[in-house]
Amino acid sequence: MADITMTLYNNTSAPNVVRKRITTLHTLTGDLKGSAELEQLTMTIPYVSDFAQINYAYIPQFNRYYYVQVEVLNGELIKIDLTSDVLMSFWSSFRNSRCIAKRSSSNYNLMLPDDRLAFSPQPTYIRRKTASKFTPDSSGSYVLTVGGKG
Amino acid sequence: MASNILTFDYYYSSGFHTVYTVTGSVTKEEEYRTTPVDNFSAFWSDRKGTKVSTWDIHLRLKSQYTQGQRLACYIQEYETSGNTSYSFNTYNANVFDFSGTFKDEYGDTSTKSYAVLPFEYWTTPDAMSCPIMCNLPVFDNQTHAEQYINAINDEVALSILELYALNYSAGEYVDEELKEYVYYGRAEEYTVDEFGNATMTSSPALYRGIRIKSKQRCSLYEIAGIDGGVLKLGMNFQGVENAYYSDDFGETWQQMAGQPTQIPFGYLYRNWAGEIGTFYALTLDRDADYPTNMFVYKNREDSDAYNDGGDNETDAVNYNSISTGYTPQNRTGEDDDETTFGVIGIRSIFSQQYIISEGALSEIANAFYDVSQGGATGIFEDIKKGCEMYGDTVVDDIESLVFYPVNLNSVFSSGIISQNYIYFGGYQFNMQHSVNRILFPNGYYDFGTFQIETTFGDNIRSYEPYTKLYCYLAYIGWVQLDMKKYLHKSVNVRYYFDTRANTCCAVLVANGVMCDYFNGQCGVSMPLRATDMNAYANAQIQTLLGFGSGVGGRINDAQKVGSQLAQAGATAGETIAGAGALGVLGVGLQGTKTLYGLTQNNINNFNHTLGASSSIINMYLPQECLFMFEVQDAMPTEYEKELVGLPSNASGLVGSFNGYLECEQVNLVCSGATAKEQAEIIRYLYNGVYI
Repeated sequence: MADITMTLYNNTSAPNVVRKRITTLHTLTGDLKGSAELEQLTMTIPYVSDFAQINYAYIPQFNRYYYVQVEVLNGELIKIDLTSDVLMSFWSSFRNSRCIAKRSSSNYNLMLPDDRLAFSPQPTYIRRKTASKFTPDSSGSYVLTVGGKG
Repeated sequence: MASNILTFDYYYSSGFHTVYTVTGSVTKEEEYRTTPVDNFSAFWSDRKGTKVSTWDIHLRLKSQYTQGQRLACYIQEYETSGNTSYSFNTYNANVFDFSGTFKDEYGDTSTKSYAVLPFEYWTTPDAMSCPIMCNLPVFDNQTHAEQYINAINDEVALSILELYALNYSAGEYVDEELKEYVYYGRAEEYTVDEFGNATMTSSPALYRGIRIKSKQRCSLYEIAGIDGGVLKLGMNFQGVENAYYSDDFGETWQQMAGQPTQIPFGYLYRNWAGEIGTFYALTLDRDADYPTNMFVYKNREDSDAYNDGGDNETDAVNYNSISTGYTPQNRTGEDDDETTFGVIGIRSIFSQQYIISEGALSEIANAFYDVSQGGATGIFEDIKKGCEMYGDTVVDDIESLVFYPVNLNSVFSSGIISQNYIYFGGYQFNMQHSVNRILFPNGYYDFGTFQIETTFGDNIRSYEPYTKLYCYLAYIGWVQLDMKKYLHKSVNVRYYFDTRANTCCAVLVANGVMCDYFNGQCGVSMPLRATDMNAYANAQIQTLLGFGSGVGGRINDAQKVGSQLAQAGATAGETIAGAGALGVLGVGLQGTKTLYGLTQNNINNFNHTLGASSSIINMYLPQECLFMFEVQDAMPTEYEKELVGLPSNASGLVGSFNGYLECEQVNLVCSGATAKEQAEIIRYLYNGVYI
């Protein structure tokens, strides 16, 4: 198997964040023994003291970023399980996919109903008066109706 | 292979600065040459005559300190062999680059052409994010550029431009609506109105380079992704069968193939110009080169609605800027007609009505009950005799005495006449006081006008069910109004009176159009004798029986109830004349409770009471017109919007969205991923991702 390069990172972003915020920790080069699936693979790497920081990796030969789970085997070796991060790995490709957005924070329509809005059970009342009103105490009228000539 | 052909510098009065130079890197040139810009925007310029090419070399001119100064560039060197020329285009990167390409290398040996160049400058260093664009003349050498820069006034500068600017002829290509254009200025405050006339408005026309021609409607809508003070505007050709575009100001037209959803410039830019509300025009030629400006909508939905023939022109954000106040015709082809109200032209010849003061009433009452021998007003002796001949009483000639809470003299000002006598039957009773006889009760009492506006701005929360609109109308009660009919309108409330039925009718007129009317009982029948008190109370009983149950459910049935009230009022009048022993008994048993209950009904259930009675009690209730908005308090804060977004229904590329995105549907295009990974991407997009 050809040499592969792997960069190990510390990732502080949630899985559903497309572009992860990562900090480079180590870059390793080595051989991949045996077969491996691109989406999920396991490797053994030399022990590093900051192994607890490692949770993310990139392998350029596979064109993929990976989530990493670390298991310390002994004082010399660490086993890492890698699962591909599809969002970060393929963003440059699938960003050109056409979609209809159900919800968006950048392109939204305020005239659409929002079933996630929470409303207070007690509504607010706003009252506004017109300029005029009846004033029967000062300007009322009596109308007398009488049968008779006009 | 040509290389290092053009070097661009810019010059301004305090010195000469090289910003970027094409140094002749063949590799770079090759890269540019083989990377066509396939999605460039409209030329950001206020000048016509711009030539657009599709190969991009990133050259950009910027200066922070050019306020009020002329600028120019010149060709420092270029290769004349091989019929080389150049042209420039803009590049879509939220900034405005211009670039050169060498046509002879691509087999284009046409006549040289020179572009009007965009130039990006800002008035102060602080305004860097909001640059102002202008055109940059290209001179044949540095000397002429300097002459232009240092011209003592604009007239001299213009003459230098005409003589030496290589791109002036291109820029000089001006069609009719741009005749007034001055080359070195900006085409601000210039647009085309609805009728195709060139007019001066506050709307700068910055997209003169692009024209659209179609017999169908098309419009623009705002696309998310504001950056650097620039906003993208999407071209919307929904429903358009054939459309053409021109990037040379109408000289040549190219048809958009098939359903014209794509044009080389998929979107345009709008410059905020540092303030909200400045919108630029894009010329649209419709029907025999009938130019107009394209409407810009806040979202795709509104734009679609317009393209589909909707009458929402006024919703366009640039409507006021480009329409010069012209109100478009609605979909029926006719303007909204204002309501024309009727005129009353009938009256009872046998029965007369008088608006009468208390003094005049006293005068009549005193004469009426004058028991002295040959009293001063002996006329009533005659009346009495006359009445008794027909088995009637004197008082029966008085049909009713009703009190209204308004000065009817001013309401019916045109339908009344003043006189100082009243006819009782055939007898004329001359009075000390004058009275006003009602001929025709034409006229209304104006409660004033109220502007109905949104609480939350133009969004769904300003409509039902999130916001409800109620109106309290004196002598009618609370009614619920349809928010859609009144929003953004000026609502006039007026009361009409029927003095025969003792009723009133409140009419709500929104922008001149009658939207609702509600009937009520406002006239209070005043007792004339003992039995009338019984009738009066009976009227209350009927009122109570009519409204005592199911009040809450009746709030939307205002007109029906109003008419019931009118009938009740008329019935009360009849009862006055015909009340008998049964009526007396009824009042004796229930009278006190009835009046008390009515009062409680009107006061305790204030917000749900509809209708009124013909009792004095109603005068304790508010005598005004009150609009009440019932607003549901929610919390779509900025934080929540960023966290979970807001309903969108917008379509576009996934990459065109920022922040939170949750998809309704995705047509995934993804190379390199396995089927399993693609499914996972789709799952993420459906569940929501942060971009």
